[in-house]
Amino acid sequence: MSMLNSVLSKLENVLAAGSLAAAAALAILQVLLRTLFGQVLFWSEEAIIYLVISATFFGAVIALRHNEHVSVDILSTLLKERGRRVLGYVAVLLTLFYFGVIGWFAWVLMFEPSSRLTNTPALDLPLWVVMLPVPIGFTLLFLRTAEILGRMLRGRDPYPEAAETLLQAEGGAPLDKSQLEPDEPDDPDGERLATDQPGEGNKENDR
Amino acid sequence: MTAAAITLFVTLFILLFSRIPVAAALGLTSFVYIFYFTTIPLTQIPETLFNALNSFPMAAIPLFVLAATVMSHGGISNRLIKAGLAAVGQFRGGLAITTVISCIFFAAISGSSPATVVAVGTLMIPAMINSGYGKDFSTGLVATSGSLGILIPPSIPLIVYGIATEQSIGDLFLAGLVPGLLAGVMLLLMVLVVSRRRGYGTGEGAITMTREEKIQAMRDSILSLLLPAIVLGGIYGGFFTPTEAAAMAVFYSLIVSVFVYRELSVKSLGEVLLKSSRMSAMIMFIIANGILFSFVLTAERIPGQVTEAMMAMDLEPWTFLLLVTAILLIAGCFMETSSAILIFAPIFFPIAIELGINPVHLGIIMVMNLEIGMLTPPLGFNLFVASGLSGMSVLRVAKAVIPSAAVLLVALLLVTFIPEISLLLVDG
Repeated sequence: MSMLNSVLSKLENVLAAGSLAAAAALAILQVLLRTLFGQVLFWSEEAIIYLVISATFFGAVIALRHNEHVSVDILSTLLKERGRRVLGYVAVLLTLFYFGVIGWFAWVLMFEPSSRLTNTPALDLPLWVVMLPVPIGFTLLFLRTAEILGRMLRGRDPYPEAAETLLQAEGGAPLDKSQLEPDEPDDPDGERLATDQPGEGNKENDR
Repeated sequence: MTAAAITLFVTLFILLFSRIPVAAALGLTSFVYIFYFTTIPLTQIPETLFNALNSFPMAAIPLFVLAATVMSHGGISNRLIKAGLAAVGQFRGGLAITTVISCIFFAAISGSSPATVVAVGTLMIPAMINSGYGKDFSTGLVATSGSLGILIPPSIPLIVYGIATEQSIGDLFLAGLVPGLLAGVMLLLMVLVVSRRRGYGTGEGAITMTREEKIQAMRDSILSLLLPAIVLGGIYGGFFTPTEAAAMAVFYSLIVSVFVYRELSVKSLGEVLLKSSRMSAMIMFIIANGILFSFVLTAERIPGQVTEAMMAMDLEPWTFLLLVTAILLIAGCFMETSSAILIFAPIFFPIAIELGINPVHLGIIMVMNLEIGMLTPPLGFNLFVASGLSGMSVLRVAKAVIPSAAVLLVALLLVTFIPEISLLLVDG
């Protein structure tokens, strides 16, 4: 089971990063060919778009594993410990429902005549082929959310791959304590600044 | 308002403020509306999500994210900052000036604010604190200057606005340049006044560089400094579309970091790709679901109704713009940038057209408002990142940010009421 999981993770990574890399490489090639040799690849814009769409729906799965999808967690700050836990479960269940139901209708869409019989203008591929990342992506999002729910129920860390903070997710690290001056809770500078400066702004406003 | 419209907004706000990802909240709200109030087939939802991203300008977003990640991993941002230090480091307030200028340059090559805060703050916060700028002043200044990242082109929110309202992204980028630089210059003036008054950075413990070191730092940075010229010059000169310019930014930053600076190995390239694909997928997934939501807004004819109601109130253009600012400043406290644009742009846009306000000008005003929104709690990404860097609490950073955020607010009011500032470089 855990081996299957790690193979799936690898596959998600390769599909997302690979699509992005291919989109970037093709976009670079397109500009170089046009500006240096005056050649136009008539199919490249379309291919770039579909690669970016594929990178988005597969990348969304990895972002979910790393808990990097932005959420605005305001309601739970108003609640006590128990309410917060209940809200956490409600949120995961609603997310699971959304991914599940849209995933289902995305598969239905694949079999509709509009997707089977229409071809894309430049690449001449059937529409369902380039749309495939949508149902697959949503199915994976559904499975990963179910996995997160399972970890929550067993009292484990729901996001073992996640960075601790937004800072680490952005690729930064907390600064070395020795580089910062000792923390003064009521920094007199800070106080003066807070009352001083808005006056500064008003002056400019009056001008 | 109809029952459907009320359900729509109540559902959205409950979902948005719970722990559900913003993208799923937007999508789930749209699903609830389509399911209960319309006869639209549900397969329309995945189809709209797909079509939302089915445009070439949209492809610029992941490419700019990729370029920014390559730059911060490949030593380009560090060299920009060192060059700034070499140029103005020894003057009074020199480190703070370097911080603002580095943020302006970094903003001109990346479309993201938190990335700018991390790149510049990691180097500049300790340097500023060491030479006697207060901890609060240093952290607050980095958080605010970093927010210029989403206004100075290339800018991801401006791309989103351009797609949502069918405006030329090139025009929006041109229009964002002067307001962005104006805000930057006003921050510089504030830094000069504050440093003079408090005697900051008078040389005591400041970073000292020898002449040779300075020349070396300048020489090292030339290749990095060329990047904004290629990206912006390429778009403004009509050589590239924004998406092609983004591709060139990726290409150029890869060449410089791998072959010239040699700070990026082929192995770490995989890491950079993975990180970029997560970050850009997160943004693009919100955008796809946000466009689904604006499709629902239009299906319910909400923008039209709001426009009629506003026109009945006989609004002056300037009262409308003031209203826009008030709404977005509040929304910016609670909402993420792209989703705020996709929810509000379809509503504000037709009113602006009726009132004769230039839609490009409206876009700049919206993005400047949301720029301040990155500095206002409870949801302000720059606060989170700056607080993580300096170890200060989010609230203390929020307080430290007030003076410089006030300067941004003044810049916003100037830009709002003097349309020429944004339209200076745009034709017609």
